[in-house]
Amino acid sequence: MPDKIVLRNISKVFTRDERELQALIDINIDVKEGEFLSIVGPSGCGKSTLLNIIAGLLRPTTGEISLDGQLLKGINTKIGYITQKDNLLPWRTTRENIEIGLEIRDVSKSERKSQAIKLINRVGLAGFEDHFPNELSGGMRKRASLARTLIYNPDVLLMDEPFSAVDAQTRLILENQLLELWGGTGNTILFVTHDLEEAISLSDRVIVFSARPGTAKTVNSIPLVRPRDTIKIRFNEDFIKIYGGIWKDLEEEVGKAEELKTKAELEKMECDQEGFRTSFDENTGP
Amino acid sequence: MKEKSKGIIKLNTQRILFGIGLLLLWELISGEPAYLTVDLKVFTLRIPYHIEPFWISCPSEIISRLFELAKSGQLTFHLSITIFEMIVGFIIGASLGISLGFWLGRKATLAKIVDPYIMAVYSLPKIALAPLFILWFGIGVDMKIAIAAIIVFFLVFYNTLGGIRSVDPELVDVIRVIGANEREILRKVILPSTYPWIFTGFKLGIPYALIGAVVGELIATNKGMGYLLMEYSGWFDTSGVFAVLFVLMIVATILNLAVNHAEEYLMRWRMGLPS
Repeated sequence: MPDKIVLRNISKVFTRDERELQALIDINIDVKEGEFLSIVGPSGCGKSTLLNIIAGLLRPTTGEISLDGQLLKGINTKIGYITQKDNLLPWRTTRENIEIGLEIRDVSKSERKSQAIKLINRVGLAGFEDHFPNELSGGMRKRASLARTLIYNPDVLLMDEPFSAVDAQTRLILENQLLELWGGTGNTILFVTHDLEEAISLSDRVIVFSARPGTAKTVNSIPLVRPRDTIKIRFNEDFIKIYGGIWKDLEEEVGKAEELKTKAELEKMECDQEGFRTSFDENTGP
Repeated sequence: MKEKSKGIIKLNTQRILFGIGLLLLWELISGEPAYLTVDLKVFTLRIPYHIEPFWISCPSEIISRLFELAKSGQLTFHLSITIFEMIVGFIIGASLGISLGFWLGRKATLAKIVDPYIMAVYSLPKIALAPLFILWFGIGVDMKIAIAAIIVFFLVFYNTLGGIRSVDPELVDVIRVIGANEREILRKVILPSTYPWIFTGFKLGIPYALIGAVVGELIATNKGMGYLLMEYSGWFDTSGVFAVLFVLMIVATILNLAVNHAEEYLMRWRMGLPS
């Protein structure tokens, strides 16, 4: 399989209040065409930053990205981006939300409608076409946002912890639904999560990210057969073995991330104390 | 559902009865001054149970005055002038408020520079501008329109600006990745997400437009509901004053109800009501 997305020497430094924060460092990843690739890592490791860079919403400090062999400049409109928040437009009904990609592509009204209805049925939202997002459950909103992306048929899907906001049971159902929708399309999915079980059960390959500054620590192939049932597969012996292997790498990074967090909190506390001291001095002047 | 509508009918009946009760009480109190005297040994307590109609008029008198006003065509004439001033003032103020709010909302640096100046003008009691507007526009209808317009302008302007600033950047990003250009983002994301804010501005602005028009008329004019108020008050005609106030109250109530209904319909996506 040829490479769909190639990331070369990507790094990202954020500057805020004259402080620098290295979010990503030296990332080299090749995403193969048609594969389901997951990135797992502790929170705050820059996974979302990386997806924002691939979507063209953020510029990397160094490095370059190519898609289908072409260097990416500006917003990447060839991909579909599904974020943690469903980001449906609250003033549009389910169907109107799903149609927006076709609207932007100037597809005729009747064609838009028929395609949207087809997709609404496929993701199991029939009967909710004319509901507004705030009348839908979390899982339904997720499905609507998936349908909104699938309707314009991007060959790459970026998914940033898409199911982290829904309850555990709904999540399992949504994962299976995602695999069903994806199966046979030949689309490439880059999936970010902090849930290792989710990553393994869905993916062809799993990349473990290090704690900040984030970088690809290990790349693991998941040789489990497809089609998979994301619920049953968790009891599979191979699954458990793979999980154990990858968890060791991940655990270490999670530990480091916790340390970083504690350190950051301590620094913040010190700052606060300094701030307190200055204001105290001012107040007790002559 | 049935239980609910029954409850509403009951509530409305109670409300109407309460209103009738108030009017009856008013009618009864109004009359030749009379006092209930209670001798408490130390001093005598005089409780008035009748008040001179000169001060408070009475409902029957006000109603007959209303009919008179309506019959003579005076009510239609003066009311239509006030409503005209209010509507034109509202339209001018609201459209300027929306346009300027949008324009400034997209220019962050400029907005920061001019912010204190706009705030300063905003803090000015708008009614205090009336003498200036008389100089500029004379004492005709234009002056009342100007007062109504400037009050509405600030309400709509600040709300539009707030709306633009509260647009969720993630929504913009998501639609941008789907392939929208700047114009489509403005039309499909930014504009609709400011609607509730603009609507709040409208909702505040409509009663204020009425206030602006009437106050303008109170200051200087020879027509409109404000003029009628001044006229009656000049004649010491309390019933006339109450009749005009009653009409203004009805107009304001109808406007508020209309705006609330429009909001419920247009903003149903915010309420979580089934469509």
